[in-house]
Amino acid sequence: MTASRTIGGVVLLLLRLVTAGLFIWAASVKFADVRTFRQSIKGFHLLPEHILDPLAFLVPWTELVCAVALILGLWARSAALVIAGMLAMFAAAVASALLRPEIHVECGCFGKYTLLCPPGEVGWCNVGQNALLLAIVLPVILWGPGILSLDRWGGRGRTRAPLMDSTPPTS
Amino acid sequence: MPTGGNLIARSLALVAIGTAGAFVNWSFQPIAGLASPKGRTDPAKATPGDPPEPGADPGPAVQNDPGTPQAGAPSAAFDASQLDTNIHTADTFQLWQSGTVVFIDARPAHEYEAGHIPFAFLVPSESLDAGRLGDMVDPSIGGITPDQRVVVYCEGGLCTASELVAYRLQDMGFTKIHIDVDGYPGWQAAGYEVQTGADPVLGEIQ
Repeated sequence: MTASRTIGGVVLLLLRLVTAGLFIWAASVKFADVRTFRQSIKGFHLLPEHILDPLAFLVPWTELVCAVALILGLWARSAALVIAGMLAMFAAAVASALLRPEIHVECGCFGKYTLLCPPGEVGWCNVGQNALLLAIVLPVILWGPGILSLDRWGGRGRTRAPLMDSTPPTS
Repeated sequence: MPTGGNLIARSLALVAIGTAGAFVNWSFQPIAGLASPKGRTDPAKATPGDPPEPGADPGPAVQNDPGTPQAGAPSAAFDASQLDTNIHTADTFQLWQSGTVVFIDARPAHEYEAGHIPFAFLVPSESLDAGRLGDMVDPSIGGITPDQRVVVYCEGGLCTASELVAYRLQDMGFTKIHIDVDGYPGWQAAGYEVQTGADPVLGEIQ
C-alpha cells in the first residue's frame, strides 16, 4: 500500500463521511416533519399533487440509504451517483423557482435549519450550496470510495480504481 | 470498481431500497391533511354569519382598534360555517367585517410591514418554531383561543406558507381554519383597507 493511496483513501473516506453526515442530518429533519417537507416540495409547483406524499417519504429514505452506503463504503460510487442526481434535481428545482417570480418557496433541504444560505425563501445561494455538495461527492463517483471501504475490501485483487490505484509506488 | 452497467444497477437498487422504506413508512404514517372547517359554527354567535352582537367581545384580533372592522357588517346571506378551507378575497372580507375572526399573515416580516390586512398577526412560516404561535394563544399576549375562526394568507396563488401555518394551527387544536388562496395581492387588488408597520401585538420578529 503506497502512501499516496493511503492519503487518497483517507481523503475519500472524509468526503464520504462529510456527505453522509449531511444527508443523515437532512433525512432526519425531514423525517421529523414530513408534512413541512411535503409543503416545501409543493411550493415548487413542479409536480402533481398526488405524488407529493410518497415523494416526501422517498427523498429522506433515499438520502438515508445512500448515506449509510457511503459510510460503509458499500456500493459507494452508486450511492454517490444517486446523491449527485438528487443534488442536481434539487438545484434545478430551485433554479426553476427563481426563474418564476410568482413562486415563493423555502428550501426545505434541512428543515428549519440552514447550512450555508440564509433562512427564508430560496435564492441562488441554494443553487451554489448544491453545487458545492456536488463537488464534495464528485471525487467518490470518479475515483471510488478509496481503500477504507467495504467495496475495496470485498473486491481486493479483482477491481481497480482508475486514478487512485494507478499511482506509481513511491517506495 | 463496478462497470457502468453495475453502477447504474446498484444505483437503482439503492433507490429501490429507499422506495421500499418510503412505501412502508407512508403506509403506516400517512400525512394528515387539513380538516375542513365546514359545518363548524362559531359558539360566540347566536346565528352563524350574523353580525356580532352589540357589546360582544370582538376577539383579540381586533382589540387594537375595535372600531374599524365593524364599519360594515357581513351580508345577511353570508354564513361562515358553510365556508370550506380554501376561500377567496370576497369571503375573507366578509369574515374580516364580522370582527370576530383572527387573521394571520404568513408572509415574511418585511412584506407584512409594507402592507397587510388590518389587525392581522404576523406569523411567518419560517418563524413557526420561534414561539409566535404560542405567544398568539398566550392569554397575556395574543389571547387567541382555538375555538376561534382563523384566516391565514400569504402572497396568494402559488405560495404555501399559509398552509404550513394552518397545519401548525390544526396541531394546536384550531378547527376552523381558512386559507385565503388569493392572499394579500387579492385583498390589495380589491381595494380594501390595508395597514402598515410591525405587528402591534406580537411585536417584531427576533
